[in-house]
Amino acid sequence: MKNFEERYTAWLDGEMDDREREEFEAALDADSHQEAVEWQRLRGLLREAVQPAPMPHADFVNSQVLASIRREFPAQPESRPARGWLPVRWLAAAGVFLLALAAGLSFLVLPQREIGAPGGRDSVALDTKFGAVAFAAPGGKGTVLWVNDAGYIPANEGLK
Amino acid sequence: MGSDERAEEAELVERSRRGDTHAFDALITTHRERVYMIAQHILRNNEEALDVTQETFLRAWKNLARFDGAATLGSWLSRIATNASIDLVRRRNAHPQTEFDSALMSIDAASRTTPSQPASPADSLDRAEIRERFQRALDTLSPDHRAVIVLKEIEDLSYQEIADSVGCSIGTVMSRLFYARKKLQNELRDLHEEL
Repeated sequence: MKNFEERYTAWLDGEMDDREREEFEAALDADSHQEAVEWQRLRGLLREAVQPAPMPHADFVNSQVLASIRREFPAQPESRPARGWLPVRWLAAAGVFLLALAAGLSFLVLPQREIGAPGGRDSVALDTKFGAVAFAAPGGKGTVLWVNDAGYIPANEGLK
Repeated sequence: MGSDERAEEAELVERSRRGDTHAFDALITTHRERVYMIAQHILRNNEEALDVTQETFLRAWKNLARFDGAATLGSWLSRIATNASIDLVRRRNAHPQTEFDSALMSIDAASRTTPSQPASPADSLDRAEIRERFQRALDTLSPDHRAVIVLKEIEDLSYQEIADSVGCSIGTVMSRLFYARKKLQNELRDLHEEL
């Protein structure tokens, strides 16, 4: 059984069915009726007067809460949603690796050019029993010959 | 909230329970405004309301395992926010604020007034006065009574939702509403007679 306060509140908020409301209103004195009318007016003013302010810096709340979580639960496993694309850093690393691989392969596979051939700085493995390597500057204006395991170059040996 | 949205939210809750902060981020975005408004109405202070909003979601994260889904996530969060706000009001009352802080609160409350239509200076003054009177009247209520008034009259929640939010029976909610309204009416009687 509801007490008077609960029934009055239900009546004021329109939460009674017709029969309950008629019975309650029949037992209500004039002053209570008048107070109910006054409250309905005050309620309208209250709702108008106490308008909520928009939340300032809403995204800041997210970042603060998540930072607190990470701080307070450092061991918390953080699962990430499945991604449709590989992260950029993975793609960048793969790109660097492929470039290095291509450079290495081109050095091994590309045909050797003769010294002095047009082009940039070049190195050529010479056909010599001394294992010599020549470095040629662009346009053939300068050449460095690097000879391994040889104290001197015999006179009958020369660059072809 | 439709059934699809409820299912989506349930999935986000489940993922959050497993430690997925991205899922929890989405839940914060969905509910932050409402949580903030409840805290703001009870506390009437923007900075404190922001603090309580953050605290609410942090508590929610810590206690997600206890959320059984009997109430909606929104009601559960409202309950946490309401309790956190009431606790803060009680602590504040135990250590009254300085005059400077009170002045700031008054300015802050007035700054929220953005009339949807142009108002004459006289109208603006009246609105500001009325708002101030209501704010002062709300301040005279106990935290528990202020919470039910805010949740009922401003947030427009049902008795059941308020009971879930505050953590008491529907009968207690109705009883508190009765006395809170009486108190407000007495505080604002002269205002009502003027209008």
